[in-house]
Amino acid sequence: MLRIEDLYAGTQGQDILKGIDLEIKPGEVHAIMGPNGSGKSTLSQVLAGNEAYDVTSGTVTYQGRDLLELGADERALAGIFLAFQYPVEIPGFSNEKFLRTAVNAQRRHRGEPELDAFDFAQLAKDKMALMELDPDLLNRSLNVGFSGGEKKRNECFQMALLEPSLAILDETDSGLDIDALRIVSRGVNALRRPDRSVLLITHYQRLLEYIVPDYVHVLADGRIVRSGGKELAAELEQTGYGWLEDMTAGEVAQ
Amino acid sequence: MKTASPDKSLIYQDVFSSGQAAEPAWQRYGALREQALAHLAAHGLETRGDEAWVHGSAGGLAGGEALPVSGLRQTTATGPAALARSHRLVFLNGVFAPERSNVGELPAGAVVQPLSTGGETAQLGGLPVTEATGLVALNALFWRDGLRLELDDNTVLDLPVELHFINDLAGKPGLVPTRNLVQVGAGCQVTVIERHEPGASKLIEQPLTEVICGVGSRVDHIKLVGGAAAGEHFGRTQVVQQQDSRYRSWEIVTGGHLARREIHLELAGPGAACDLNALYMGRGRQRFDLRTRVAHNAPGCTTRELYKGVLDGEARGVFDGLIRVARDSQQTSAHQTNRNLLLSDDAVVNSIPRLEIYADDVKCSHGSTTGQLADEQLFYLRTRGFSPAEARTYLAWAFASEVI
Repeated sequence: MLRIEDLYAGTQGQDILKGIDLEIKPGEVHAIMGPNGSGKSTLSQVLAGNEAYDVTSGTVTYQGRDLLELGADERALAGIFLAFQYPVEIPGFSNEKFLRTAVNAQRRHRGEPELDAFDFAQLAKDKMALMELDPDLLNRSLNVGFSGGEKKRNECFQMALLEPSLAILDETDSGLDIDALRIVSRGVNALRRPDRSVLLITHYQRLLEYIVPDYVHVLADGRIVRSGGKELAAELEQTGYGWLEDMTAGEVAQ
Repeated sequence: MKTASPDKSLIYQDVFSSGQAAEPAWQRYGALREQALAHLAAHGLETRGDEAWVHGSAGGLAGGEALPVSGLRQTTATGPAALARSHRLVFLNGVFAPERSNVGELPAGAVVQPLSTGGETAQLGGLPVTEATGLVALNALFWRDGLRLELDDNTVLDLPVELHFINDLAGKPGLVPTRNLVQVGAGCQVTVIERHEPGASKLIEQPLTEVICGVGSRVDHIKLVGGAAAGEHFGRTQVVQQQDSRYRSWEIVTGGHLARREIHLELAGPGAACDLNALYMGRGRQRFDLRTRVAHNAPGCTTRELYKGVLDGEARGVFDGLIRVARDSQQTSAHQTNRNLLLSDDAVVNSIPRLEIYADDVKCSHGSTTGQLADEQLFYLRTRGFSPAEARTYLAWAFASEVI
């Protein structure tokens, strides 16, 4: 699905990612954990194609294609979805119109007929119920006046509509209470299929109780310093991230 | 005040005098025209250095040679599509075109007819907000026709009054002034739509609409300046509002090489409210100039002003708004907002929001912002499969949608 090799990337001439290696196979759920400033969000932005970040070296291959050659919209149409840590507000652009345009961009790309407002309403209804979202949110401006939880659930609602092959969730759990966390997790788990992969980026182990990963990676100072199974998350819960400070660059475990 | 060379006013005098016999329309409202002629003879047209033109462009008027053209009533131009149901009056090159119009049935107490018909009304040109400016005088001197709308007290027009101004001088240069009067009594309700398509290059259209809102009346006024042509538009609206009246305005400007829209409004009776909205969207080398002057001359009145611009290419925009609150106009609420979105590095906007407040018990604010599309919004849309062009279009419309 996704293979990252020796990836260096950053912004304003400063590398934040310093040699990432990661392979995600179809059907797998990977979690990336790490302290603030370790490069977690940069990784998600680079994978989604944010031009504010420069890739200085390394390769990213997605479904056999050179991902770095593609613009953000082309990546989206190829099945990559990023759930934003801070979903963007767009006053004057209704959530419904936004979502319908996004869904139709996908359908057009796949050669399927576009959905009209009525067909879209049918499709949206069930997925909104899954995310326990108030249908009125469809008529509001995108993310404007949404609570923190509503924004995150709206991201997962989009994910459910767009049915990506690779979903990247950037700290989707941050700022959520237990109920919202449970709803968001249900949305992600509903998406899990043998041909779909998920990359969870999180600071806390809590999310991984609801979405059980196949692999856990620890990111520190732009590199993956430890990888393991789901038990690694539990271990981190015990030890915290303090031990990372004692590590030197030479002790990278992979 | 700096003035044009008085010599130029001689041209107007000549045209008016020599054309008077040929133009029956100019023999009506003689007092108004005499005043206009006297003003132009004394002061000429404002020129570039005048305050009225700060940041703006006088376009073809700067030469002082834009003259009214007579006798051209034939055109194949179709103008904008008409509403399915309305009281419609169409004006070709400033003259009423009955064959294209459909006034339809009117309720009792309503007059909707060309201003060129019926007896002269004393209300025309009598508004206190009428400044003696060269532009106003030019219109007063040369208009031939326009709308005359009069509603007796408590008359409600359910259908909008729709005006089409279609200009086609077959490529010749010329000035097309039109004059509209909307006078509604107490408790009336009406919607007036003006649709302007400035016409080809070298053509200057100059509509002036006077609106008198009676006590407790409701007037909605929509002005559209559109079309693909390269003419110039100098439009002006003068409004006086009596007690507890509500006047709402939408000015949507997308057409013309140069379009200037002015609103001069007086809140003359207590409790009157105005709601002024505009959207100007320019590209290429279009020049749009939006000006508002609101006078709070009575207590307890409200102004809400929202002017938004979207400029691409090398387009230029001006917003110049002044709200003046007189000393005895307590409990005034006045809010003025101008927001601009620049889609290219070469687009420019000058924003001059102003408040002059002489009363002490008021709630007033003004604000102006000018910015570009936010990168994070563009990126967000692109991660949802919007192409860069689609993302920009949707974001520009989202910005504009607050007005319409």
